[in-house]
Amino acid sequence: MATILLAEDEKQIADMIAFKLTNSGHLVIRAHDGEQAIKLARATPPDLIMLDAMMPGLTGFEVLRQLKSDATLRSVPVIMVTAKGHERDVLNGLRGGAVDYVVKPFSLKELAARVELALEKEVPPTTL
Amino acid sequence: MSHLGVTGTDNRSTVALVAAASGASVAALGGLVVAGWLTVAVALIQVLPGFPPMQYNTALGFMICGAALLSAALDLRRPTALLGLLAGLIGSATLIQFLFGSDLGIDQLLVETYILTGVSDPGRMGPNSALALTLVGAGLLSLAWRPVYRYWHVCPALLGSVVIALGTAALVGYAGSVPGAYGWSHFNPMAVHTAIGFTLLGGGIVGLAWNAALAESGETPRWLPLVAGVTVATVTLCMWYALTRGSAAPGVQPLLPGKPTLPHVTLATGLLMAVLLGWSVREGQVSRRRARSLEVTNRALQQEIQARTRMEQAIQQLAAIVESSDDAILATTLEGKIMTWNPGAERLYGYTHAEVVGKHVSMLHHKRRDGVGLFRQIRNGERVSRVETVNLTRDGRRIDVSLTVSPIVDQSGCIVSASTIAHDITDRKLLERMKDDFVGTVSHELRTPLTAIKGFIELVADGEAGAVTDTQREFLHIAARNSDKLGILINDLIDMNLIESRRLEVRLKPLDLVPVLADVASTLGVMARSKGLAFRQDVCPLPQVLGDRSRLIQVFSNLVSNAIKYTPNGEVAIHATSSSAGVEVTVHDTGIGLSREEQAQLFTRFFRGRSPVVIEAGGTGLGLVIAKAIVERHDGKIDVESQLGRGTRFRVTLPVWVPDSPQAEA
Repeated sequence: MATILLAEDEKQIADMIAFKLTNSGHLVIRAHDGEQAIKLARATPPDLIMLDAMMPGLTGFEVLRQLKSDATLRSVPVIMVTAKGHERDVLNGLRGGAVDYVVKPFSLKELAARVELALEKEVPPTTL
Repeated sequence: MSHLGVTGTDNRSTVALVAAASGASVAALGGLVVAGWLTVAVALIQVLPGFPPMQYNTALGFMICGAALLSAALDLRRPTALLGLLAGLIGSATLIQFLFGSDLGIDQLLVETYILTGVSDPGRMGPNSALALTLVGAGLLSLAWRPVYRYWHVCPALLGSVVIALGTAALVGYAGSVPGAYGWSHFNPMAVHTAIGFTLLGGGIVGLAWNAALAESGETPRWLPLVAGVTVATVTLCMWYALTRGSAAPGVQPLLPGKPTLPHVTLATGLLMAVLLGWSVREGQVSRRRARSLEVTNRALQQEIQARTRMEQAIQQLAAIVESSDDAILATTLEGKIMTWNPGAERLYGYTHAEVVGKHVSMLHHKRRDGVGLFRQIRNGERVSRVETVNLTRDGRRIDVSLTVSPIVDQSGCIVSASTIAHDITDRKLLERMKDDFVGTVSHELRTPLTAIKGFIELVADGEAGAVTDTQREFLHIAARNSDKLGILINDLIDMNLIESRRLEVRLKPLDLVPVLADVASTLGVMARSKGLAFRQDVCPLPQVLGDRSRLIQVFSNLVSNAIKYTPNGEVAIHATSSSAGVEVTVHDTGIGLSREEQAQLFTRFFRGRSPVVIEAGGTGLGLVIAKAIVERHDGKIDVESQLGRGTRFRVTLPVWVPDSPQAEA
């Protein structure tokens, strides 16, 4: 049961992902662009952030940069959603601090699995 | 030159011919007269009754001299010399007799003279004839044995001219009834045919001397004025002598009793004429020489002018090309100072000629360090071709240009300046960027709906939107598979686009293929087994290659999935070994195989086989093209072996990675 911030400008895709994640038992907060994502993240720091790489206005990478330079948000795991043919973006994302990435068109099961993986890793060392 | 002047040119051969003819005729004349003496044919000796006879010795002398002249004209030096010497001896012996009043007994040596015309010494030729004969002999001798002197031929020429004068004076005397001209004092006069003979001999000698001069210097002899003057002067002198003394033959009156000064006037006039003649001949020669050298200079000048004009035209043509070119063409010093600036440059950059000349070319550069490496290459003599860079215009706009910079060398081969051609490629670059954007956009636009389709189908099929019957699930899976195929097609098309615009990116890193192949095997092995095929892996430990992991997965997945697709039953196997050629990965199947024609077309776009299995299997026909392009970007090779109906084997060979070798790392 985690709080996941989803930044995705395509409504249907956002619906789809939110549906799946909600069914998996998580709480999904939706942002429809980068600026809103940052605002919402600062307001309520989530357990995981899913960022679409290609968004109007602030791109996913710029959002990523801002997140990682924010003290409170730096430790939140970020999964990038990218399209095939932009492998460079993937690597940029990983270098920028994202923990994982999913390539469109993706399998929802795969996405859910990666989300679980990222959340598991997040468990702080003090709690077992 | 060992010959006496008979070589080559027409002029010279004509003269030589005439000289030869003269010599022959004189010799014949002499022969005739000798015959006349021997056979007592008075007509031959005396031409007309009462006329002075040609003495025997003179005739003999003529035979000798004629022959000598002929041999001189024929380049025979030794006979000429000997004969000339002989004739000279005869003549000089006679002269000596005259000078010393002695009798050497040669006058009637060979023939007793029987024709006496009231002369002093019977049988002896007159002093004029004797002198002429001696001079002819000397002249012939000098023709044969040239004296060691640059203008040696003046010798025979002078001698010959005096002989001509003597003969001519005698002939004038005969013509004008001036006996003193052909008969000196009371001595035996020169016969008329003797006079003719001597004239011919003299002429022949002068002619041969002329030939010799022409052969040596290529122009008319320098002594010509002198010879002309001497001839005229000698004739004048003879005439003067004839007119003043007349003939002292007994009973003959002086010719002009009442006009004693006439001869002296004649002499003066004649000598003056001689001088004038000589002078005018010389002038003629000098001016002709000058004209000739002027002509030569003129011609050289003309050629020079023509060459200059041609060069100027060529330069103008080149200048016109530069002026009219659409591209910017500029010349700079090796340090980068702008020297020339064509109208194309004015249009492209917006600066006028006056605004840029003398300034540094970096004023056009967008980034500060753009020109540095370029000029170094130019100084090394390298030409830099089609380098794409960004320049700035006068109003600060950025333009994309393609530069070609060449070193300019001078005549000695030193690099003195650089010439730059800048071609505006802003439009092309814009198009490329738009295309990239388009591809990116299209890619995005196509993938987003596909993502939605895939995702929602999955949600329903997994029962997350409510219970689902088996039939429903099966139908949804079919829909999902089709949507996946669509996704693959989109990927292929985008890859094709990247390949064709040569922008397919591979990031090469040292890579172990073993786990890569294991990945492929695990994903696709399931597919194979579900189709009832056996799936084998035979992968030895492999040395590292330089590769792009995801791209190589793409390649091997494509090969294996093809193998599975086109194998109705049997097995699909992956082998990997390393050999001297590199790392070899082989995908082997026992499928339908390929015919020879199909193998030839295998790696072409959209090629798909025609067998029903292939058509059933579906596919875009792009997979192998992309696979080949990726393998080639890895510096590798891909080839196929197949037997129709038996199976197919694809082999990918990749070079082994050697650390620190100059292999590409993207």
